[in-house]
Amino acid sequence: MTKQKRTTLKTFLASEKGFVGVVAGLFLIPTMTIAVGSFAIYGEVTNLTRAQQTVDAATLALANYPEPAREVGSSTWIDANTEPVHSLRLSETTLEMVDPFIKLSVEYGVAESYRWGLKLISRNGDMAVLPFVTSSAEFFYRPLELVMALDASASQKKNKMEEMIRNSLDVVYANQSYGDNVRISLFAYSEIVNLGSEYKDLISRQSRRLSPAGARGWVYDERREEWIHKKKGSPVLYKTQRVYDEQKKTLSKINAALVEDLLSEGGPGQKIGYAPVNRKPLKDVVSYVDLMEQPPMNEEDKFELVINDGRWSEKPGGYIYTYPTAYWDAAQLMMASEYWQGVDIREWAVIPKEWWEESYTEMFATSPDMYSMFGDMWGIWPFGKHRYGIVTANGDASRMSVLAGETNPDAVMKHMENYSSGTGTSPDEAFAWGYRLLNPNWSSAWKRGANFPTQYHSDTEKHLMIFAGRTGAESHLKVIPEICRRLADNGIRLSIFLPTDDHATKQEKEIYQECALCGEKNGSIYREIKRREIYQAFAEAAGQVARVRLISY
Amino acid sequence: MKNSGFVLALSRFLKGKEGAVGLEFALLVPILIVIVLGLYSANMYQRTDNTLHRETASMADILVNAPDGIVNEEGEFVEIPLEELLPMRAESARVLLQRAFSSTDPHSVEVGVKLFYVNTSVQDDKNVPIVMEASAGSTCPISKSLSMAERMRPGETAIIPYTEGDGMLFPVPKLRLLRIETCVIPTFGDLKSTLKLPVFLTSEFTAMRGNND
Repeated sequence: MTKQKRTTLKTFLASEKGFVGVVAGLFLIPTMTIAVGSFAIYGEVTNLTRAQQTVDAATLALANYPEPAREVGSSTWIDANTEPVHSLRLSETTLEMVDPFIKLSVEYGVAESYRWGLKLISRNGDMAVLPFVTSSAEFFYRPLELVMALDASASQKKNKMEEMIRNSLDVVYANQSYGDNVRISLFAYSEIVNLGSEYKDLISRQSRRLSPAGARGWVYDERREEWIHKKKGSPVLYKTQRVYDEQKKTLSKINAALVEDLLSEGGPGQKIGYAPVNRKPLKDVVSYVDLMEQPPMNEEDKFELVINDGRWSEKPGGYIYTYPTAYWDAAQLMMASEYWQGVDIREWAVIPKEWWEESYTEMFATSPDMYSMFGDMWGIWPFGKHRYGIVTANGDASRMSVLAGETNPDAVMKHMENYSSGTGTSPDEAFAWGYRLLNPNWSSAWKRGANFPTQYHSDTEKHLMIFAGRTGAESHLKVIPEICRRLADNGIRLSIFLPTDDHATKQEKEIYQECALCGEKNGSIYREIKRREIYQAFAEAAGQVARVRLISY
Repeated sequence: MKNSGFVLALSRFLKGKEGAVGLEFALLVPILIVIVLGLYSANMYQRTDNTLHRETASMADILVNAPDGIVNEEGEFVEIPLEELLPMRAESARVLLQRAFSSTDPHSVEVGVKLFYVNTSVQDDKNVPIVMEASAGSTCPISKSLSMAERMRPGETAIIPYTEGDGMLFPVPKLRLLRIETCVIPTFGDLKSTLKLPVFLTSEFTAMRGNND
């Protein structure tokens, strides 16, 4: 460096001119750097907060999706709220579901319009660490006890009923597993309910020997609330031994083996476990409904459970006969089974020979053992109903027995395979057995542990769905409002569905509406349905089960 | 000579070192003021934007969980039809948003709120949930590529879940979906008249809940 240059440098350094500007300029560089850096950091923290809000909202929303749709829904929901996060764009979402948790992880990329800024500070415009946001939520359950009372009247078709139940269960479960948190109970009701072999002990062996018709010539007149005698000279009224003797006598005339098979303890007729349960004659509504509060405690109670009003004992044409129709039903079941195929119906039918030849030969023109009125079910009742009142299974019960507290939807569908229909309906049976299946006092009867049915007003949602059918005979309609009152008081939700407008009388509809009104606080409804509304009801029931909350780490 | 005297004086002034610091400071002050005000404005803008988003998200969360009614003066819960309730909610949201920006003088801030509410159980004859709308305050210039009504229809863009039953698609019922769109004209206290920016800050948030979330 020359001397002149050194002198110039010394002069510049020693000069006071521009001192403030230089100092201020030097000071501004770090100040601006800090300010810009602060904004950048503040902005990114803000973005991450927003991204977290977005992912939290998405997780809570997705928890309400049916499981198969969640994967698709995750992108939709992240996208819906990512708009405000200016510098970020959705890059990838990962949804993990490990019962009872749902975890959504979202990887963000940097929006294209912001890349130019990043290029100033990085080589390729990408951030070294991309924002990665996760949110986890936990499902917790409000257990559901759902009872479905299915109409088994003639207007119902097995395949349609199966389809409806299958679709409904699909809606409820939607590929989710609830474990023991959802318990399905199911039964088909006509004028009687088939308890099935598992619950046949609920009624007494002695009462199973009764003809459901009670005795010849006697019918219970609900209007007069008394038994009336339709055939002069018959003194019989509920004397078990006498009815038994009559049955024995009748069966002996047909085939001596039938006595052994059907009336002996442990015989095929009893082994099949078919236990039709009919209603008690209605004299006092409250005491009738009181019977539902406890399972039968003794033989007398068990006997009470099955006595019916014998309304089918009088048939058109003036013929009044009493037959061992409970066993006749059992015979139907046996014949429907593979083992009994090939049995000549005439060996079972209690049909006088001359009537057989007059009226029924045509029906069995091909082969007596091939008669099938309802597809896979041997239908015998038309003999009595439409002809001379000779033989009728008194209130044919569906072959499907009661299913209580099932947790496996596949098992429910398996059970539905036994569903059969084909007689009249008494809707009070649906209310009564529905109530029993939700009643904690019946816990010992249903044999599903002490926690089923759960106590009233616990955290468990109790829901009775009744698919009402066309009433086939006099029903105990008077008891329904009282049952509905108890359902409402006990916090049970009631949904009544009528398949078509003509499936109930005006009086029945009014009762159903009153029931829905009575249980309004529990969400009870009555609908003359469209199918969609059924599925919605199931979806609502399921919607009550799984709840979700975010987990804070 | 008068002129030569003036020129000499000017020459001395320009060559003089006295007052250089003051002069440099005077020249730098406007620049510093612009920088400081710029930083302040940017900070306020960012804070306003952040507050808007935060309030919008939390209001969406609150409103989607709100019951369909109000508590009256007697302390009783009264159910109100959504047609009447939604405009009330929008107005309440507007007031809350305004307060969030200025607790001392809420009227100094202009805000707008628009609500979209869907209950998936309320559907039209094609099984598509009906979208209800209500707004309060300024009109927010938010334009979405798809309207809420379009996002209700089944398909890839649907923002609500559909399930299949009996060959039909129907929305999972009893889900409540609420979308809130908000906007604010950024103003900075008393300087509103001078520093009012000619743009809206906008935000939106969508939340959905089931029966018991």
